[in-house]
Amino acid sequence: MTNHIFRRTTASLATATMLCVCGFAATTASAADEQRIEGGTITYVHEQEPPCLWGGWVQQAYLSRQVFDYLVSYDKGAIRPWLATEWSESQDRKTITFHLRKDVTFTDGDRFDADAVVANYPAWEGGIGWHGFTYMKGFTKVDDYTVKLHLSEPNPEIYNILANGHYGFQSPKSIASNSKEQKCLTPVGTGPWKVEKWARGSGISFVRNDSYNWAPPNAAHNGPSYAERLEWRFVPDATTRWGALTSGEANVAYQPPSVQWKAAQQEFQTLSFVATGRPQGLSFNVAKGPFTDQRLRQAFVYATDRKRIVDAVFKGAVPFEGNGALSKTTPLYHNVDGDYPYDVTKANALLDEAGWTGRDADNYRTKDGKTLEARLPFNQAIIDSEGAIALQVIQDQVKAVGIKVKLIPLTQTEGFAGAYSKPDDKEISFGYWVWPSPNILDIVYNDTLNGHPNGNNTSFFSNAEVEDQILDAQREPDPKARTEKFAKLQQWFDDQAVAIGVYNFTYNVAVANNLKGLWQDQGNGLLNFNDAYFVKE
Amino acid sequence: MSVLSTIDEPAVITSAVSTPRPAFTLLRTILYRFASALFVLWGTVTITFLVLTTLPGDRATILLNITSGQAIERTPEELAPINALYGFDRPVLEQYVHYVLGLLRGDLGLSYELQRPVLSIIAEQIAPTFTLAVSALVLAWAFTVPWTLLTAGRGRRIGSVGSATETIMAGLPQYWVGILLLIVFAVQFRWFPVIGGTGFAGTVLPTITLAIPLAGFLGQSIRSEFDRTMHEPFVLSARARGMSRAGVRARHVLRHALIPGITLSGWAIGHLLSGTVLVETVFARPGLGSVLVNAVSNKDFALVSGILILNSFLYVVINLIVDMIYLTVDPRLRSAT
Repeated sequence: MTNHIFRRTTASLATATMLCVCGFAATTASAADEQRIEGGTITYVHEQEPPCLWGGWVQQAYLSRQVFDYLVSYDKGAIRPWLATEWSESQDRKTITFHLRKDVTFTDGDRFDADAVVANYPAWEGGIGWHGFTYMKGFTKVDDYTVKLHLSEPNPEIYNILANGHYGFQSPKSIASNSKEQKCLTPVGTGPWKVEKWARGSGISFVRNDSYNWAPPNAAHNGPSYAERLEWRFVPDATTRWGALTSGEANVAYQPPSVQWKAAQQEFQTLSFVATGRPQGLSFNVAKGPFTDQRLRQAFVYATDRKRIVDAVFKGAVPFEGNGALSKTTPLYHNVDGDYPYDVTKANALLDEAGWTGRDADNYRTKDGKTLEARLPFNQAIIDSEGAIALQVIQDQVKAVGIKVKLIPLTQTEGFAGAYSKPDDKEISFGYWVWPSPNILDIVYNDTLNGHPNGNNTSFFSNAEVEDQILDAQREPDPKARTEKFAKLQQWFDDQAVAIGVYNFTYNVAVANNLKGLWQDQGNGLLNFNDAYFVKE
Repeated sequence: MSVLSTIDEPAVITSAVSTPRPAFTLLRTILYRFASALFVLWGTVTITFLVLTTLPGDRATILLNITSGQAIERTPEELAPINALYGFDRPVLEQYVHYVLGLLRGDLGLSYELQRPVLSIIAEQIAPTFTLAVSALVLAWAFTVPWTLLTAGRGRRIGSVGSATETIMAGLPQYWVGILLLIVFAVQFRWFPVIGGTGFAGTVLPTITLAIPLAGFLGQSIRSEFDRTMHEPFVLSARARGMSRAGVRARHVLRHALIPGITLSGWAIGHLLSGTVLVETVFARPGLGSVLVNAVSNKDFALVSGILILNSFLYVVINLIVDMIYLTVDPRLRSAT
């Protein structure tokens, strides 16, 4: 369960080092001997085609980033100005005053100013399903080029969220008078590209915004894009995408097949970004069933050789992640990769100690005549075929210690309709949640949400004391103390084995050798085509 | 009518008595056809509606989850505005009547996932799908007819080679054939584009992918009829009249054998119009197949229904055409009317 979808930015200096590990960089810009070719058409082959260009799904952020600009930019751990030139926080850190650039215009001629910011807020609120988790309450206008952003909780990562690709600005004129269809297919922004045409099932043609002159300071150049056109093609099959790149039809290919990742690294330039938030991990049902016993959860983890499984299945294209709470790129990440090494003896000892000593006809463990069984439903729209293979290996490995795992693949319809989402339906959940902030803990471990059971809490964890600690860590004003508090919480969830990481959700691209300057935003991996240019080979 | 006819003037009597009849019969046939077509369309709409409303999975939940990327249960407070906006909260019967009334006005509705009128989505996707379906069918026939003439009714050994080839072709999985053709002819030899879109060069490999299994099915059905017809007495009499063996096979036997193939083609083209999703995925082609699969998984009723209505309409039209072709191919049917 959970979401593959959100993506955000990562702030905080703590992660800057991690980012380098996970492959930060652009496709090496401008070697002196290479000659830049002006213009040209960049063809990018991507996997999923979202319904609209803009919205709360990370697939939409990939696209929105081309058309929109954002208040701030995220630059390897630091927050940089963009449409806002400077900002300041109130004493209680719940109000942020942004001063805006005065020279920015939308591609329909509308002006970007405080009114435009205020006009966009209802669109954010209505169009981004998880908006509430950002603690944003709304904007108020101070003067023509100054706005105040109001928060319900202090949120040091609010800048990462604002830079993440979802919170871009559409022209107020288009919000007021364009049809739903126009807003969906051809939203009007201030960004480096304009949508020329969306041919459903085939791709989107972007043309350069010739008046673009407000790139963020971490971009390699300011001004209109080097290339004239960007053809964003939807190619669902990984082999076809790889074929398009190797045959030269495409210049950039999204997620090459894992078996080709080594070849991609040797023959092409590659970019790789580990998503923030929760990694692909196992969440145990701690409210009901056998895994309410901590020893069983730990035994399950000891019985799986997670690192080797990830290496074997993804062949280096995707890294192992031990932490079930936060992924390596998330601010305030705490490394627990060394915990729970593969140890079958220990797993067996824990299971014996917990009283699961009987054996049934198939040699699975039993207790009081009941077989030790774990149902593990997974949404095939969120876990791809390689992820499903990893789950099958896990199923096979825990069988060796007598745990029976029943994998239940769900179709996209079943999954998104909320099938198998109640405590009675499953013992283990598997999935990820892209989110740029450690307050992911608040999202996934809160018992209730607006008075109802919190659907994002897939472990059905309920502990008022820990919830208070999470909120306390979120509110902690001292950065050092905050880091310590979040580290302590991550360690606690790891020790309790409530959720355990397996692998990171990774955004990989392979880039043709004659295209330089392409870079991935280090908040959420969004591709920046504005700086990309062709060279003579 | 035969009561009035005499042996002396059969032509006169027949024309006198039955001249108004064929016209009347034709009109009646057309009316009957039209009514049954309407019935089929109504049935399609109703069944689609029933299936999509009764299938597990709340539409408002799916819509919310898909736009936010979550797979969770939703609270009534979250669902209420969506339900009100799209009318999901109204009684099922009312939603049904509302939809059917819209259809009668020519309004296929709005895809709530894509936020666009269904009609414009279909209009945009139909051309590549139709081109692909028709060219695959033509190619399948172009292979099947010579292949049948070459291998059918020529004794057991040649027959089994022909038949085995067809069985293998019919059994090849489309996805596998597609990937193989792509890797060999587009990636390795670079004869065709990998992501060719809907132009001619980009249509060749998808066409072959679809035509291979189809040719297998067509060949199988034509072959058995061909073999059977070869034993008909008229074959012997034609040969006795001095007609060449090849002439009999091509002019007389083939004509009989085509009938099941034509029937199958009617089915095949309908199937190709909605069943091309795998080929579209491999070759990154736009088309109705993937739009339909997406729409079904999101329970996007108006879009699913629009495509199915179009499909059943085309089925009806194609079956009419198939009936016409029967008349051309089989003169016995002409005299029957």
